[in-house]
Amino acid sequence: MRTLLLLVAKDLKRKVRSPLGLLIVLSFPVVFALLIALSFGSRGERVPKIHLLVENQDGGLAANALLSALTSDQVAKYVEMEVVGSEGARRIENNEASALLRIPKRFTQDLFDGKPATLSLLRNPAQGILPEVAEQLTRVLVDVLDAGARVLRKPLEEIRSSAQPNAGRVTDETVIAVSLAVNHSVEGARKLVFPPAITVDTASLAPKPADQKSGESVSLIFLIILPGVSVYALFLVGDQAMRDIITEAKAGTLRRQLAGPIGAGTLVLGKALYTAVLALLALLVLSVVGAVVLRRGVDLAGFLLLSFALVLAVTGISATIYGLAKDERRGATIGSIVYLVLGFAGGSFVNLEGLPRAVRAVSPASPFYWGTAGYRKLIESAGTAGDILPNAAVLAGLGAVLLVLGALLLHRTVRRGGLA
Amino acid sequence: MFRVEGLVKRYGDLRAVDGISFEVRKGELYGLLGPNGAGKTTTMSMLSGLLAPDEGRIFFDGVELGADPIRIKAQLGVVPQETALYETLSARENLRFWAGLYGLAGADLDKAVERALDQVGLTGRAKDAVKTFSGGMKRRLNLALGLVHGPRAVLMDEPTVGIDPQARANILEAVRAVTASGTTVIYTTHYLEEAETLCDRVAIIDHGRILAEGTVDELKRRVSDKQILTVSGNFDVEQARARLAALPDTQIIAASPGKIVLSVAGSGKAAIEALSGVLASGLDLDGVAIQPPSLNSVFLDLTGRELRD
Repeated sequence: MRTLLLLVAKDLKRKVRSPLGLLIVLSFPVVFALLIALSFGSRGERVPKIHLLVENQDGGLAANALLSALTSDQVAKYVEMEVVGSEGARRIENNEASALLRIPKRFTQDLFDGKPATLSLLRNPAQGILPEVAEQLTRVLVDVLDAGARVLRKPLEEIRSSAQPNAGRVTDETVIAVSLAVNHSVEGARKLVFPPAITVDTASLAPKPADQKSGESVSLIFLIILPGVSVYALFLVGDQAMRDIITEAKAGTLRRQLAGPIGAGTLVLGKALYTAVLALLALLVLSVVGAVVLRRGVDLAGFLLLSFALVLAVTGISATIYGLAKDERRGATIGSIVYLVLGFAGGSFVNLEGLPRAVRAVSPASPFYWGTAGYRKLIESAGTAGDILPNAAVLAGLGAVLLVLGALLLHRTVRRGGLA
Repeated sequence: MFRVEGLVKRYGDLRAVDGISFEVRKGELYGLLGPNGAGKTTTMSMLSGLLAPDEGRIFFDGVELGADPIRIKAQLGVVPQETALYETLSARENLRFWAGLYGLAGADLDKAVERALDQVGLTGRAKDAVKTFSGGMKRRLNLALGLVHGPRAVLMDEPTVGIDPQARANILEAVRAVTASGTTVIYTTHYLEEAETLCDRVAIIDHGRILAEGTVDELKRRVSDKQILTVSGNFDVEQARARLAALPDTQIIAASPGKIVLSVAGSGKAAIEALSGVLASGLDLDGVAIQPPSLNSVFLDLTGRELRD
């Protein structure tokens, strides 16, 4: 045990003296988070525009009012609206827009009749957070229309009766009466309706401490990116730590240690322990970043359980890669390819919903998937240790098997003098 | 202290070490002298337990190395040919790590580290990162790492390769101090003067075999009744062979275009007679050299090559 501690302390000391590689890997998710924070800053001024397709099957007064609202200066800062025909759904399939808003036939009529009217929104999951924003925007508009329809019920009925074919000529007095009724209703509902109800920044992306919904929108952006990228970074940290066994072989220090009173098994175990410790420290840093950025508490037991399982997986995979690799170059190449493929399939870079169906089908084969999904469960759904138990079990099981395999491979290579 | 019996190491068809046997006594400085590729480092790797021999056995204090490698290795110090150091750590941190690995702790470790630093003259630079050291300083630290735990025997594999004369002198002085304290040393080198001035006994090794073994004087006596003549000029090998073959008591031990090496049996008078014969041979000569008995002439006599070839 003392020898193992000596080996780990020596490696950590070396890492502290030469931290550049580790800092670069750790900065990967941090820089990502910072960029996002800058892009989706505290006021939400720089929210990217949502390309919203609108299929107007109604063409009536209320539908046109909705279109006007979507093209108003305030909304146009966030939404690029395009009126389309029946090709809208196909264009969403082709990833040409964030969402398709469909205004059904008789929408205006139903509104005037006081019947329930439904707007349908088709989201494009490939565009990450943007469809989420589009949905929230639609809900706000629906709320406003609903409120308007209720507030203006009386004037609307008068307008409708005036518009009947057998209603005769509309007199100046009728117009004045409707105007007064509208004015009276609006005045009465001013506090409810104004300032303008369609405020996308308030309802979607602008985080306000007291506003749970807007906070959620920002968190969603980070939730999509941060856990996946952090898990990926953690695997890179593990790769870097385990690669040190080959660095030591090149420097001659591995050979020198083996000439001392230390077995190849102890040496391999020491490097695995160092990898695990470094991964844990990296995880700690990433957790602090996550806590600052996401501003959410998580279930500690669940977090620790998942983290230890993930560290085991990180150590196991890196040990296997370097157990198979004969030199540093081959190890780095194999590692890069393996991590990139597993990271992509596991949803580290792209939200799983945005991945092609074929890739989604193999996602569970990637440890990145279980790590990323586990952290999302803990953060997004306030999951507990019980919720992430399957994730932790898969990671720990995979990690344990690969660690044994990797250690045996490395032990064999070191004993045969393959590295030394 | 060390007994090596019929050591063999093969790499495919190549027998890097081909049946080496020798014995090293306690407190002795035993040299393995040979050119690059002679099998010295492979032999040292087997002695330090890094390589398993294909054939043969190694005993340390009567115990076979393979029987209890960890216990035996704990009593050995190893100074590898390459400077195997942690460049980002300081000299003291390097020494503390290695001393700790060999089981030292607490005050014993502190004392051992300071003693090793003093032994190689690095006390003043103990806190500095190794990466700031010159090549000579790294070599000295490399030596100190093999000595820090106070081993009973030290295996030194060409510890002076690639350094300036002053750093080399410092290292040789430290090696003498180590043997003076009673530590057994096995020392490989391809420098004749190191073997001549340092070693109690020398084994001349080439192509994985020990060609001769003994004290420097004993080895020199092997050629004391022979004179080595090196003849150079503008001639081809066959021409030289034809003209010099008839010289009395003379044997051609090496020949290459423009250079031929002769071994002449007998005293200085025989060498003069051979020299006269060479001069009268009609070969287009540039020079003729007669070498006094030395390890190089022993090596020449044994292999037909100079050690520096």
